[in-house]
Amino acid sequence: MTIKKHFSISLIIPILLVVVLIIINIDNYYRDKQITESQILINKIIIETSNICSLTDEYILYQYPRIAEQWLILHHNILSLFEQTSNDFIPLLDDFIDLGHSFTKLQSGILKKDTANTKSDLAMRLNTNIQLKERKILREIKAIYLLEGIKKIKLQKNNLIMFSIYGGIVIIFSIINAFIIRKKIIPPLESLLYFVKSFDPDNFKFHKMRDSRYKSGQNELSDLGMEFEQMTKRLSESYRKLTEEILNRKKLELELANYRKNLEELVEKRTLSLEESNVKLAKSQQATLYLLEDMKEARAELLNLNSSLERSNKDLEAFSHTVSHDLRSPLRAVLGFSSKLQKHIAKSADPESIRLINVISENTVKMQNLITDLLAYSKVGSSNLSKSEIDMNQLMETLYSDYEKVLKEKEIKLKILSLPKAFGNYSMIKQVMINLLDNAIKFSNKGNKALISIGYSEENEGAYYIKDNGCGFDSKFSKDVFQIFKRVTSNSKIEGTGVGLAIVKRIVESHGGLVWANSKPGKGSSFFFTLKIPKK
Amino acid sequence: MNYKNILVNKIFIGLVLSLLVIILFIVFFVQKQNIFNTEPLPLIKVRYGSVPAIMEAPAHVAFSKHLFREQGLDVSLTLNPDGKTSFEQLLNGKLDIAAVMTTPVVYKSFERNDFYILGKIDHFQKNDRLVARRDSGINSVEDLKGKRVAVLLGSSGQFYMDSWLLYNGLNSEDMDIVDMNAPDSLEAIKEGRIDAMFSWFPFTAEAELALGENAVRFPANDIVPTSWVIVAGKKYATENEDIIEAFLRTIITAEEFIKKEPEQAIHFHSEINGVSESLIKTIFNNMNFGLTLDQNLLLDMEEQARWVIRNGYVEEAPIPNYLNFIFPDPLRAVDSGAVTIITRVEDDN
Repeated sequence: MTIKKHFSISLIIPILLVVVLIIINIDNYYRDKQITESQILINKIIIETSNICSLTDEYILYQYPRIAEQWLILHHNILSLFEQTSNDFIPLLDDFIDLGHSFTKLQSGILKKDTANTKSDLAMRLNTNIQLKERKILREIKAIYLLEGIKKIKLQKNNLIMFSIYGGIVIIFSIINAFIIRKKIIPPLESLLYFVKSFDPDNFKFHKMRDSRYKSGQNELSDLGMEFEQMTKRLSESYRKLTEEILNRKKLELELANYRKNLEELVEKRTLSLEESNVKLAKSQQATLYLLEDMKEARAELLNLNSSLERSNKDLEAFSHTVSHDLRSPLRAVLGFSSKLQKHIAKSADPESIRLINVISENTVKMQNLITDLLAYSKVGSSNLSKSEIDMNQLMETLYSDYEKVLKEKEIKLKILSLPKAFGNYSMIKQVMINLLDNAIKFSNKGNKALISIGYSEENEGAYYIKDNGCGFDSKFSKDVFQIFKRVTSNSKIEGTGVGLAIVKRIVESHGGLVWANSKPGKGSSFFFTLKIPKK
Repeated sequence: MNYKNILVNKIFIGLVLSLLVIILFIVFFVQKQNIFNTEPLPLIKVRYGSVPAIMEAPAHVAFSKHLFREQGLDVSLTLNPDGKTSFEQLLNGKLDIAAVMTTPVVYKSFERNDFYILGKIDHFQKNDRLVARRDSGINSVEDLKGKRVAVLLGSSGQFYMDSWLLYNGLNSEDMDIVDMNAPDSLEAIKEGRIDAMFSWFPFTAEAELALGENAVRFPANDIVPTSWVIVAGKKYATENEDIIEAFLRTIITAEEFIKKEPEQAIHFHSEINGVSESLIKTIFNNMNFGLTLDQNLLLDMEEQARWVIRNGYVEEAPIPNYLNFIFPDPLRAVDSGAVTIITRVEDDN
């Protein structure tokens, strides 16, 4: 039996014994209560019967109505008490009812006063009868009371026996329990203790063998012994492994120490090499410093050059502006007078003079256009540009109304696609579009299904373009077209100052953009330019 | 302290003040409306006839300790020299309740039945006795012949005297009987106007004390004394059953106090009857002071009734049914175990 089972039984049996004891006690309590109640009731009947005996004696002596009244009350009370009693009282009840009849007879006999002698005899007989009955009843009630007392004593005796048996059971159980503990628990415990004491902590071994009588499975203590033994074996194995591990570690530590030593040597060598490199680097740094100083000087020279260049530029711009502006006044005078001269000699002069004057006028106009263009070109560089968001579609709509007549005359179809908004100086950008459009119109062939397309290409980060299907030019001139006064067409009929596209380049570049052209002779030209697109 | 704390404090003080105002208003309103009238109910006046005798110690303690007031009764105590006087005052409507020996009650039972016995207070048999003057030549029972003997006729003293003389082979006709109440008898014996007196404690004890060596005390023998009862008018008792109950409950409370604090009880009793505490102590410990209603009361009264008839103190008449003179309900309501007299009870457990 396992210790767990043993303890379970040790716990359950006393509980069962206590439960049985409680049940027996409750039963005894109710039995005792019943007997006591019965005794109280019988005692009451005895007292009341004694009282009725006294009242009978009194009545025989005095025959007072008070006594008769009390006798009958008491008789009624005793009958009520009899009703509460057990079957033992049934014969007595009949006797008691008879007693009541006898007393009534006695009472009525005494009340008859006609024959005194008869009354006396009857009274005497009834008296004797009642007294005998009363005594009999009293005796029998007392006997019942005695029986109840005996019952009580018997119950107490039974209780005593029962408690003695119970006590005996408890003692026997305790002895058995102690015996089992002595037999089943103590020896394996002692054996285990003996075994444990033999443990050698230095060698992790037991000197004594475990008692073979207490094999595992007998109870928890034998299992504990077995587990203890196995645990010690496992601990011993772990100890052995641990020792090996320690030895290995020591070996490794030794190797590590060697490695460390080699490493230190290596580090020393490397340090020396590094020091050498450092010296070289210091020298190199010195050289770099010299180089930097040279560069600084070169930059200063460059800056001087740049500033002198800017100055030259500004002078040049000022010069071109002054020249253009100053040339316009005498030119305007030449144009005005030549016009007047034309009108003046129109009817009188010979045709050759008229032709010459016309040549003068035409060349003056050309010169005026050239000067206007030069003035515009010079302004591009000198103006401070105020920039804003430009609605290119709206700009093109404005331009279209300006060019509508010209396009119609030249039978050129203008196709304007949707253009994104740009960021820049409105007047300058408008000038770009005018110059490019003028250029396209200029080089479009009249009546040859001429088409100019204006749009925006998403390719190459996006660029506005103006395409025509005019005469075109050789692609090798695609950069030259943007140079000032540079004309790549051999057709002298096509008029131009050679400044328009230069202005376009200058404006676009001043906005941080790029401008370029693609063309093939006879296939038309495409002009592209980029501008900053405002963020949405 | 920041603004928030100040605000919280102000709200708290405001609430406390509001609560105080509400409480004051409620208190004022309650006082005005007299909702919780804590004043006790008005006390019911009861006129009670007592005597200086030791049996009245419970009533005297109850009176001195204001135990009657605790039961809602305002008892006015009339101290008479004897119970017979109290009983007559009761029958004349001067008292509501009285304490008396059964002898005057038995006398009256032949004439009228408009009173009830409510309870009996136990006392011991050596309460009544005969005291004589030695200088009158009285040293033995035989010496009483021809002597002037004082007794209150119609009282328990007379019944005791007849019984005592009967026990000792004498007859009242052998002596010169003087009808005198107890205090007068005491004075008369002291002055030598009478030779002997049949009376009761404390008058007999005071006579012995006054006469000193000159006093002759005769033993009471086995004479069973008459009963000391509390009586009330039949109409009064039936109409004021709750008052009777309160009265009897107070007597029982006083009896319990006597058992717990006899010294204090003697002191209270002494204050009322004017008898020294040392004199009371000579008899006090023999007293039982139990309030009951038992069969012995009937036997006692019937015995006295026969004595009254036999001696011709009343005209020839049948013995009254004394059950009709007993009202057990109030005492049964107060202490059911105290009533052992056989009566018809509707709900008798």
